[in-house]
Amino acid sequence: MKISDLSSAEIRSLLGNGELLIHIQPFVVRIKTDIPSLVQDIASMYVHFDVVPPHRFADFHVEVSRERGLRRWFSPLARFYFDGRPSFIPLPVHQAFAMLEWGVNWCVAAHAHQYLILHAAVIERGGRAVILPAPPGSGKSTLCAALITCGWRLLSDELGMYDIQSSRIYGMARPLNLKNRSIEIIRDFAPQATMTAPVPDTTKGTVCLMRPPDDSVRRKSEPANPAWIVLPRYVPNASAALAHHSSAKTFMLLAEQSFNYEVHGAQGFNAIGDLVDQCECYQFTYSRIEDAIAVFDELSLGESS
Amino acid sequence: MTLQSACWSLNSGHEITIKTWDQQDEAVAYVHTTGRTHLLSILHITLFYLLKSKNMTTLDVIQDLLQETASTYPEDVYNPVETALSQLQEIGLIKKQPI
Repeated sequence: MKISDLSSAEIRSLLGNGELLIHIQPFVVRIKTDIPSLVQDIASMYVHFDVVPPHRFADFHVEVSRERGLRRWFSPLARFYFDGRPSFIPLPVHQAFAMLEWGVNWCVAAHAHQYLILHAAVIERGGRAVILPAPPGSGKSTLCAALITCGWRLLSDELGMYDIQSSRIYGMARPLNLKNRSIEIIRDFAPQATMTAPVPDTTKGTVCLMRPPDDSVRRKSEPANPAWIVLPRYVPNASAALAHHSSAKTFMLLAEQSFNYEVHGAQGFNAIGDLVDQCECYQFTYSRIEDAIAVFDELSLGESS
Repeated sequence: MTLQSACWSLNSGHEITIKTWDQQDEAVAYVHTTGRTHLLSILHITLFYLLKSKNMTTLDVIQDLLQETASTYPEDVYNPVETALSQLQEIGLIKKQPI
């Protein structure tokens, strides 16, 4: 059964009772909330995801609920709970969905040490994956959002889960997090994309979430073989260009952008080394989305220099 | 990891794993410490002429470099890395100083 098979009233009831379990492959997350806007956003953004029966095991038990007290009457706050314990500072209630997404990211990054977890967008075509590791503001989510509307499969826009044993990479195909100007860029580029209402004044500026494509969600359990590591950088007025990036520097960036590299110790070192060995490493500058897509198409066809 | 800290690690008995790539003059190194922390950085070393002149692999050159520096300058009297590098330049083990 999928979220789309449930009525709004059923989703609201399950969420209110903490009985909505969503399968975000390979994890199951149990969600509870009493916030109407969050109910709507979950129903819209996770519409293609499978629902797990309430009595089944869940990896993560999370809740986003309104804070009690007088303040709730004039400036309501919401708080994220993990395993029933309040986690992180409360945020304005209109940021509830972004808070849920950030919270679930934290759950995975802090607990799923069976993977080497990379702060990276990951997309796939023909079984081969492009890993886009980059600090915030580099344009990786914008690029990722555009590419998945043009034939690339979404694995993740935020967390790449590298399986050290099989040397393959997984993603959860969850909603994409767009920020500030990228919201407008993707709206113009892909008007058919479904997005939440923009939420202003978050710690990351204005944010909104974009629904992942149905096909990516359906295939979310399929890993891909890492083939390229591309470090994107948005440069105003720059033409789209790929340049080779040294293996050692790419290694360093991946280590820096890994949430649990240090947890794995020497195994993590070897894993990143193997990952770099598997891939062609590039730095990519771009300004126009259309040009970027053409370059990635060439890359997937093996036509890059 | 600087060359100095790599040598310090060797002298203090820590194992170091070094990873290199063909035709690239950079390497990454991992110090097997007992605690959670470890050092990791790029060793900026120009190697190509060494590969030609000594018929050595990149990894051989880096390991030789570290061993030579570490044995020349034991931990308790360790000189500044610049001095060590001058010595290594004299014996032809490096072409330019690490960045």
